[in-house]
Amino acid sequence: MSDSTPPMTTPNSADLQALRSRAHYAVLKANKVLVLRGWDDPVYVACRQALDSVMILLN
Amino acid sequence: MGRTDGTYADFQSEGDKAWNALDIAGQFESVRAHAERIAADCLEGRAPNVLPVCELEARGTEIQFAADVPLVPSICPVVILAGSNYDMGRQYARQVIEIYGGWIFRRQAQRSFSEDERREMARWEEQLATYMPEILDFVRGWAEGAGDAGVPMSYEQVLAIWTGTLPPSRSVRPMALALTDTHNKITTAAYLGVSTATLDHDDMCSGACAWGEATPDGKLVAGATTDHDCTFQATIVAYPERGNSFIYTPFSVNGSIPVLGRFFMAGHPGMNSKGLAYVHHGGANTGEPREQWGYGVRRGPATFHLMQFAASAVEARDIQIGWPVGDTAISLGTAGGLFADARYGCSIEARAGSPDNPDPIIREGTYDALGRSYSFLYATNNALDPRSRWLNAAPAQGCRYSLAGGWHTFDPSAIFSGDAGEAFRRLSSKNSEGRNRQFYASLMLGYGRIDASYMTTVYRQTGSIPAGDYDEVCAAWHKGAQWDCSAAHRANAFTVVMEPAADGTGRYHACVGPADRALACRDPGHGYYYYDETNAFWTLTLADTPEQLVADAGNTARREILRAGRMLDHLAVGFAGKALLSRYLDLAHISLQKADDLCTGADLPDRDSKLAHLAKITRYFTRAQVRARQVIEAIEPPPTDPKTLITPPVAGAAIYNREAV
Repeated sequence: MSDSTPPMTTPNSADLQALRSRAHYAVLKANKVLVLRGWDDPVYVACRQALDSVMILLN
Repeated sequence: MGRTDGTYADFQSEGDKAWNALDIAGQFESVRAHAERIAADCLEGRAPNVLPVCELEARGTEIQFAADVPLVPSICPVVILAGSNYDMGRQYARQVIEIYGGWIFRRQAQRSFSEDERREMARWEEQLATYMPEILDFVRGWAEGAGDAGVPMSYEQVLAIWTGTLPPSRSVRPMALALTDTHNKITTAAYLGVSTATLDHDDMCSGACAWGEATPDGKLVAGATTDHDCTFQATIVAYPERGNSFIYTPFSVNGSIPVLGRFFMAGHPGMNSKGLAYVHHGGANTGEPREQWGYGVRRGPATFHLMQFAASAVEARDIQIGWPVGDTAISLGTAGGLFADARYGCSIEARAGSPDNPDPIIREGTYDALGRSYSFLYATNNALDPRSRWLNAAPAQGCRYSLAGGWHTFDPSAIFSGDAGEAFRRLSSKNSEGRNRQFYASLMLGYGRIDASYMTTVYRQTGSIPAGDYDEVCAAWHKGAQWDCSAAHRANAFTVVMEPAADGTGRYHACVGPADRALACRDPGHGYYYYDETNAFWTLTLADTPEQLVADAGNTARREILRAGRMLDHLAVGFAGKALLSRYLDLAHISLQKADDLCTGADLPDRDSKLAHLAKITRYFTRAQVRARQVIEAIEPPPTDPKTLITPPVAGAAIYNREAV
């Protein structure tokens, strides 16, 4: 009996949509935290740019 | 992902490579993990690491590509058309391909049709030939223009974008389910997966307008949003040789919205040189007896026709009452919607009996509890007229009615008592009720003072979500609780404020995405977020000629750049956002310079080339405007609560407590 990790099942459309939805919710929560800060705050500027780089993947 | 599951079926070529599902799953997980890390860093006051991403490239277009995935532009492109409808169709295809590249029409250019589909298209075509033959000229021109630009399309392939290939629906269905393409199994799977399995939809829209005594100068002002994940769209500025000039933005350039499906070139809002506005689709469906459902004119071509030929809201209303009831069971399947000018507004909720024995349901104003009429109208995604109780797939026991919110149901057992299509409509009534209350309260509050600034502020005002853990609050919503949501929310794909004018100098202000980054969600859902999101508007002023319109856009860009520069100069050296805002201002200067370079030295041989050239200049000017306004609004945030614009209250103005209506 092999003890190797079984190959991951290929996700179907519903699985991918669920994953996409989770990713969107994570962005929603990050944005909610982000907008509590403003342009005069270095953390806002850095987080805004970081979130933008994430959005390229989600586009 | 859209390449794997088909949700981007109308935006990809059949020859494109399919992506590996495991890779896609990994990327979504990566996005989630990075976003969670950014949220944690932001909470704790740390600067996060920036995710390394692939280089963006233009590939000879005006948009950017990440790997080979096109990114939705965060500043809406503009096309400028003039001449006959045939000419305008040809120019449209050419300019859209110049902006986006040939891939934008390639999927449609690969479509083939069965005999049944051809027969159906011929039936829809006959309706267009009867009521608006100029649309068929536009279709012919589009086919020629696409071919000239390297994407050969047949007349039939373009016609299918405007008419669809299916017979009129016999049951109530939203777009996605109604337009499932049975000849494309990939698309079918995607639509079923998205729409019936989860019903987690963010795809709604809104519109509001005020005129006469509601506005300071008696002129019309209107605002609207489209609500979905913003896609590849273009604002059309048209100068037809017959009829009115107009500005109008379809939901996308090729008649399809990813996930939602095909919509026959519908969109909103639009306004013309006579001061007429098409504000929104009106929100109501299926108010006509079932035996009257059938062939007619789709909303997209109807809107093009009315913008071109109607001189007033009364005329737009009467023309539509003269058209057949049409395919009313699906969203945007037939004519109707919310129209207004400076003297009159109407929201056509149903056109029963048209054209021979019309008994329409039309709202012509908004009423208070004492029956007094007010010169404003609004609409979201439910029916509002007291006579419309059974519209929009009402459950067997009917819907509840409120003066401000219209017909709605919050009861999950009623919402889910039918099929998925019916549930979609009932859920829409629930989130519409809250958005309608917000409109009612804001427009009553500002009555007499509603101008473009006020309307823009209405579209920057967030709704409120009950306090507590988001997941728990969402669970309560699903059980029947309601939120005080707003028409301004995180699923706004495109936000527009219009100042139509009968002298042909109306102004159209447009922003991709929501008008404020901090807006809350409208109902349980994640909303949408954009790469390089701007939350800022460009402005176009309709003028007698395209040249004048372009010149005005340039003047606005120069004025805003000057203002942004002055504001930036006054910022303290240590202001955290100064470097990034300076970069935005640099982008504004670069766009302005490119526009100015194009303005000189062009010697173009034909009108199509000249119009394409003018449109390109306009796109640079509008980009310059948006970049400058990003700087201005970061330093001096615009108001986000209409109440702050109404101090002290106008004597006699109605002050309404939102929770009380």
